[in-house]
Amino acid sequence: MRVTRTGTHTYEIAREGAMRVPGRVYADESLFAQAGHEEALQQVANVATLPGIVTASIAMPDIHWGYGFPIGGVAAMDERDGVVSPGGVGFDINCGVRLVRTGLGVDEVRPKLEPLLHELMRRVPQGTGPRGALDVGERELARLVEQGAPYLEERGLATADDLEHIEEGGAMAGADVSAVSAKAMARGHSQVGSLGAGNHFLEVQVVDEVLDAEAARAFGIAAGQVTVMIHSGSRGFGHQVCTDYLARMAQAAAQAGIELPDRQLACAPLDSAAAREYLAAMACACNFAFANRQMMLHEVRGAFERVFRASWERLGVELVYDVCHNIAKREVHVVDGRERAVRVHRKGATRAFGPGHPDVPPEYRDVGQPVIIPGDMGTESWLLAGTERAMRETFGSTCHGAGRLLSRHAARKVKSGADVRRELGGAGIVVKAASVGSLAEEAPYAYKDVADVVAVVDAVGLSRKVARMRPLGVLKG
Amino acid sequence: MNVGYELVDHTADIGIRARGHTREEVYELAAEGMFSLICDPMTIAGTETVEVEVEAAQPDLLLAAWLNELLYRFEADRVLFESFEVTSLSDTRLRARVSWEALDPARHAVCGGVKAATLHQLSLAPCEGGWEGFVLLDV
Repeated sequence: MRVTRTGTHTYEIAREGAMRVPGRVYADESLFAQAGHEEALQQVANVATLPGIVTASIAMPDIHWGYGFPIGGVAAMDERDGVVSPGGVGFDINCGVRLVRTGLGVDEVRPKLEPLLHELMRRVPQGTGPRGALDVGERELARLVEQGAPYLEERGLATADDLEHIEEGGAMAGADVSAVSAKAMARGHSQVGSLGAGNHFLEVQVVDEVLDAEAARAFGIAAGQVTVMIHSGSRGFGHQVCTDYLARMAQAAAQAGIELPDRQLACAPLDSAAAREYLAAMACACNFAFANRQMMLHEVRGAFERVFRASWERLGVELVYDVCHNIAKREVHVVDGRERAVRVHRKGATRAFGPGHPDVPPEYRDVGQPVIIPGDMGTESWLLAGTERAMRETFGSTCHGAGRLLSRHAARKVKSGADVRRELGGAGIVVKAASVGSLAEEAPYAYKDVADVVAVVDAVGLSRKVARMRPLGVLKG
Repeated sequence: MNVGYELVDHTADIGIRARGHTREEVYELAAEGMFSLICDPMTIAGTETVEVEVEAAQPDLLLAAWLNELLYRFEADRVLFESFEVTSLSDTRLRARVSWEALDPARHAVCGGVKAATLHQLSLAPCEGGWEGFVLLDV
């Protein structure tokens, strides 16, 4: 593999062998060294071999070794002769983040932080075992996954204003439950409104720095304000959809004569039945995830109402935006001067549409789409805005988080979960976790510095820094 | 050869390498390894048993399919599995008897989630003295 540095923040993997396009990694020298696993770069090169890939196999500065696609990968496939790959979306379909603002300042929330976290923990199930806040049963689940978050509006669990501030309005088009297995339905019906395990979290934060006053004003964000961030996905429903279609796509790829450098890259031509059915099921999983995060917002509102003894409307608990980072979407982008319909795979990458794009909510349209970047639980998270540069260079995409640095096992060896909790407590951060062991795995030193990652996308212009949030209290899966 | 399973580090995920005298043993050990990530086995008393059957195109894919079937049952039926006995095996089909206990969050130390068994670096091959399998789990 031949890798050359092509700019202060860009590296190129030269096209060779079966690669149809070159690879491009956005990183500074230090992040590139951290990405530096040969495996992660090999995965960028492997994705470049997939049929119909346009321009380049792209990786964001939070790139790390995944299974099949690298985490932090973006690949756009031509709609006419390209493929869709379930591995390019991942098992946690529409894993994503939503940012909620409140009308409360940090001084009002800090004295009530313990009871607030306690109430959140009671209402939002976390970890692997418990049922979600809303057990819909299998028949209602069919409606929920075809309709997405609007299903919850019908039940009084979402408002029209909420829906306007979710990517796709919280409803992916083309969802068809007949493409979903009975197994996915059985796994999903009891999990709506649950955080899950691993790196998922719910965090109470304070905005500690505003870097772009105009965009922050548009997003309703100001320094000292308390926000809530929810990071979760489609739970067992999405995991099962991916599992089911990987098996199917392995056969579809063989039938289409596609040679795969890694079986996890199993894919099917976009005009095949396997692809159409996967996309219909994937849309259902996307809708599950939108509804899952919406249900958790409903519970967050309930927790604030109980602790602060006022309605959520009075407390100003409003959705800023909900954006996904594991998805494959049909979008139109300008490639070599002309418009082309492509299927953009974002595997650990966030949509970052620039100012003026019709898919950006009207009140944000002048400044660009809000991009929400969750950090690790001890440091900080970021609110960014999408840019025109991202539209030109990365199919409207940017990074998605800090990116892992240490394996879970290696992180456990550094400190115990109890020590991590004590240290965070010393820094004034209240932590509640389903499993103390998971705290050790998710400790700050297990991740790259999210500030470094965000600095790269800001410097390159793939998105623009708007505000930084620091954690006050964390609920971990 | 050391018979058993080991957990293998991977940046974002966890691998399981299982070695057994027979192929059957590799499937059994991989399942034990995976459930050790989900719940402390010492807290499970699998007094009931259930038959599990899976099919796949070839032996290594059968390893992933077997683990994914167990994950599905864990979540859909809300049960924890304790011991695994492969009762019949071909290249494309596995049948097993598995002991289980209903999940009780108050008593079971459920410690982590496993999303799925992936196909990345998946392998099952003869080794000196027996068989070795590797599977990478998305956690």
